[in-house]
Amino acid sequence: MSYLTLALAKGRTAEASINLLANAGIHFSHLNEDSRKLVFYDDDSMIRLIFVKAVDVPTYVENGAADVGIVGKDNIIEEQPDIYELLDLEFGQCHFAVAGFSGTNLHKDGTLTVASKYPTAAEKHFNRQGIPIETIKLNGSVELAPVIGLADVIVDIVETGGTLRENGLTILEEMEAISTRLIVNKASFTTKSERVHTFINTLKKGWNDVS
Amino acid sequence: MVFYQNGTESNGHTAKLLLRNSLLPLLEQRFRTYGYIKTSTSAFQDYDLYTSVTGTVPKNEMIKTIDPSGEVLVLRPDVTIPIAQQAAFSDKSHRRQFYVQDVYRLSSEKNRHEELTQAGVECFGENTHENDAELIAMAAHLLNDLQFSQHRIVISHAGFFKELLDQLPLSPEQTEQLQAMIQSKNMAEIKPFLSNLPINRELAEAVETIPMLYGRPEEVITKASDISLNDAMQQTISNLNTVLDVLKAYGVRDTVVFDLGLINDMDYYSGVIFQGYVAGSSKPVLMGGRYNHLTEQFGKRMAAIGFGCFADYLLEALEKDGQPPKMERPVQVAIYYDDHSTSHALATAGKLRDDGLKVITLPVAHTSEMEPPSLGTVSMTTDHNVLNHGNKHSEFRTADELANLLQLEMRGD
Repeated sequence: MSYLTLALAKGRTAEASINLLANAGIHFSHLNEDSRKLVFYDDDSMIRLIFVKAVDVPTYVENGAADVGIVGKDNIIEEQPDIYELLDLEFGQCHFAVAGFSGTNLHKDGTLTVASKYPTAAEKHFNRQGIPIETIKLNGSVELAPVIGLADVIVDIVETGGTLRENGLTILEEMEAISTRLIVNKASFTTKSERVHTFINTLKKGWNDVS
Repeated sequence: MVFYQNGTESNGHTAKLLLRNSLLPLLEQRFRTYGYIKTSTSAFQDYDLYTSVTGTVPKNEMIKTIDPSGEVLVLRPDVTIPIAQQAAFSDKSHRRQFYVQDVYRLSSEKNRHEELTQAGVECFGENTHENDAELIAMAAHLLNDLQFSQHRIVISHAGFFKELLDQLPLSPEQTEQLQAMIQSKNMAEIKPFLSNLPINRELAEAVETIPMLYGRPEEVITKASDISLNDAMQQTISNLNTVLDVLKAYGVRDTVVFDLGLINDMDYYSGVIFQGYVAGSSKPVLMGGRYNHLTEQFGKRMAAIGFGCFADYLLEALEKDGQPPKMERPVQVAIYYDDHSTSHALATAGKLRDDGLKVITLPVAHTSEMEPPSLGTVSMTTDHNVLNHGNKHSEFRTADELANLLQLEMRGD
């Protein structure tokens, strides 16, 4: 039997994901988050785990490099992959928000400059409201953009709002709620139907035991 | 000078050769065995044809050009629409047609022009379950020919979801949202979405169940019957059931899976929809369905069904899994001759070609490395005329004698 490949997002949701897998009885030898290894195997359930950057998980799954993936809804919204989004695993909860200095006018004359790790999500949000924007794609420390004058506002995920406050920023508009999802490649769902369903059921069981 | 490179893979040219010389003939042969006749369409099409007719190619993916009179043309982005137009305008056209033609698209994702080979079939004027099953069975037969380690045909019906959609009070934007959620089987978000709508529980539950109407055909049919709300939905299910019966008779029952959550291109399809998946590939390798309304846009009502595949993607899929088609060796016999034997050698080659053999002739002085011919190498000099095949060396005098020797070789193979 060949391995079923699971792509797991590094970072924010990694620990909770590994705990969930462990609860479901899926254990990977030598697995710890700090390791530099990127591929791990569970030979009992024949699952191969690959650790990839969160934003890349939808790409791996859409292109079939991984059969299934565990990743935040933020990255799914941003990448808009053609995949099945079968379960809401409910951990890693936060939400998208527009943030900036309090009192910033979102309806100003001319184009609003928005810095974000999520340019597509930002574009969609402001498009719906008919506000013209220019997006600036950043890969980290997004909160800095309004402070330095690079952008009027930012679009980012907010958990507690602590980082925003520390940088003198505040939430101007709440956007979609985010949580962690189980996604599946559409072809794997069909051609590896049994393997995929067994995995989903195992995961569901582990998940029910936790919650 | 920088040459324009179409495609980024360095083996693009080799792949196209393999495509044209082995995969496409194989597909064509299979289409012909179902009684389909080869048709073709112009590479230049009327832009308005594609923008006014509901199709499956987004406008921004079409490559436009302008003719001298100022008319906007588009490089054929799809083959089905012009074929359907031809069929609608001509009374004498054949019911069963296939095509192997290049289509041209602007891929925004890859930011380049794409020239892809599409192969497919269209059948006009028949609106029966047997006809639905014929096309699905042919698709399964084709994937079977290619010897993938596993292949599946996923079948749906455009009518089932459309019927539900008609009863939902949705704005165009909400319709789009709901379709996206169903297409991604996003159960977690469908429920809250529906609970915000002023609809009864029965309807909400029916919509919620759609993404789960997946798997063994019999099970899906039972589950779908349970949630069906009216005669039209019940009719759709019984249609699918009849198609399934015919598919069983074709012997492809184990290849098919039902998935009523497959709802792509709902404005285009009017009946069965199907997609072919193979092991090792992340995207469907072929897709099709019934589109009875398309020719209405050309002013004629005519039943129609078809399926097609991108041969380039099929070849990529074959390279990962299955049995990539082997390219037939282009040369069966190579004849080498010296200065004094030119006319004898060329006359001999002519005779063999009349017999249908693939022959090349080369003067001895200019021999170069080549792939060994499949039947043998012939050497013709003033002293000797010899056919060499492996360790065997057979002398001959006349072209007829050589032809006989080659006949024996062919039987030996």
